[in-house]
Amino acid sequence: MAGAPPRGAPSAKKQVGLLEVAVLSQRGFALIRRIFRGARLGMASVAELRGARKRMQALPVKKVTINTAGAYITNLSLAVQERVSSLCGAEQFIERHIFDDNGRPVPKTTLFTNADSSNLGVLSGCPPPEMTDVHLTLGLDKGGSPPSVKVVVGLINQERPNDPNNTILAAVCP
Amino acid sequence: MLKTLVPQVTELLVGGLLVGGERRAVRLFPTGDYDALCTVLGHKGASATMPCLKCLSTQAPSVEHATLDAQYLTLQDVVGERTLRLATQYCNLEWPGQGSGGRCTGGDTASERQLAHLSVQRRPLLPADQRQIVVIPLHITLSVTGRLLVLATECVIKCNGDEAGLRFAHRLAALLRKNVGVKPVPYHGGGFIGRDCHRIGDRSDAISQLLLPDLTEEYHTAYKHAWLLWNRVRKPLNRAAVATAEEVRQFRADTTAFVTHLKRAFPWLSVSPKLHLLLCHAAEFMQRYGSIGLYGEQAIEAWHGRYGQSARKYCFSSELASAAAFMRAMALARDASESDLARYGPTRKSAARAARNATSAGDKRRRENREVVPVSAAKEDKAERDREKWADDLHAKAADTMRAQVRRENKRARKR
Repeated sequence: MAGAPPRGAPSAKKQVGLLEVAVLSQRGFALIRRIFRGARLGMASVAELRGARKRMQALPVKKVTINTAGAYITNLSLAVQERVSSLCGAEQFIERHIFDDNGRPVPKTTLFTNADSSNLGVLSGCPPPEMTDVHLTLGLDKGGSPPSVKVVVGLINQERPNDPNNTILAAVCP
Repeated sequence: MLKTLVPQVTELLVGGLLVGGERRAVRLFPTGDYDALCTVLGHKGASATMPCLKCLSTQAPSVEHATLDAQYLTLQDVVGERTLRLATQYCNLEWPGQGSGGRCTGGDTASERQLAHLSVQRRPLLPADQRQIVVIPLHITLSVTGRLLVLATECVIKCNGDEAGLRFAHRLAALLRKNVGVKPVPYHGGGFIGRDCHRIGDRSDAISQLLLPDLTEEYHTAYKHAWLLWNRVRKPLNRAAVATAEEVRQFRADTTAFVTHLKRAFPWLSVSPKLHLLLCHAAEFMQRYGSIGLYGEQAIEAWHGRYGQSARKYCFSSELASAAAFMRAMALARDASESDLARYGPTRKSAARAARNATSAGDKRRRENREVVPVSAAKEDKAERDREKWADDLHAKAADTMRAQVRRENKRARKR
């Protein structure tokens, strides 16, 4: 009988995510856990993984909508907010600046909540440089084999924004 | 397809994002390949009269649009101030004809009709500030590397004729495989992947060396210099780090020098919209946002690979069902992003510069010391066929350009 998992081990939820990142099946994970006595290290059992997966799939942020054109994230705002909150929680949110003509960063002095509603730029993704902001890229590309169109949202306010693990796949249209 | 996502993106822009308890605005940067950007912004595409998404420059000098050419310059002009599109053109999701901002005075001439729509044929799907359109560093790198390889063949055709050009293209294909260690891929228009483009750039001396017996001194020096200038531009263009003011100044000077040199030394070379982006808008983007590589489109390309690799795991009755299963799995994978996992395992610092380079002659990291992995004859045959096809295509492209150039020169001579 394995003892309690050590404090600070990844939760079952994180381990489910890890399986998807590593393209590893639950069965494979269970085998590794058994051989290396992973329970002592905090590796979740298959039942725990199943339970965590089920709970995660029920969350609105993980929902996927399908229509005739493709599969989409149901709530993009929530997905991006989840990522931003995760970065803030890990203290890995990096401030990105707009630079003036002399190469000096423009001080961010205006708040989004104080923005004038008539300022269309703020509401259309191009706020003034002095406003506090989050830099997002929205990329669209057709490729792969078999070819499909992918829509990817990137968050620039982090260390490696071009790592696919740090981006959000918003849609796949085969 | 994108229309389904548009309300969600709009919601994100209007609602902003919560960062440490403070709601912030979202600054949106459209990215992707040139075609995708044109689709998102309702633009006609790279072959339109005004092909640039950021400014009003025309494709090439023409009698029909002489007024516009004079007023807004053409892509082929390497000096002069460009007239940027109005910020409201894509921001306000205006219908074609509304984005000219009073520039159109009405009339029936081709130039006036062009001014009414500015090559934007549809309402943009997403709002965007033209300054925030990413200058697509990866696709510029792919495009310029491919163009420089075609240029080598064009130079050989110019100096020694068509047959010599074909022979050179085949020699070049063999050199790239054996000495540089790269091979063309079936996507990216039969070109090379980004990493291979960087490798070709790093070993451009080998290509210049190969050209030596086929070119005149003048063309050989000019070609070698073109690679030198491109290598200076390539690295800061793709670097995912914030550049200093000095680096931005240097980058601006290098891009100008590179395109100016190409136009002066190889007069038949036409400035493509991507080369124009590099010349006129890349430095501006870098100066304003600190980096181009950070905002690059590498992640989207990486997702194609990941989707392909996972195809077996998420194999269902239809492609749509497979795509949905992949999307669901990737939604779960977001919980194991780098920032989430960083707190569990030890973080590794990057190695010091050149720390992992081979130091001794017998080092197994050297190509000549590596164990040769046996390759089947069928695979070798296929690689050989692909290489030959690539060389034939390269030569055909170069020969077409040179024939067009000869026709242009003859026409000019007849006029005189």
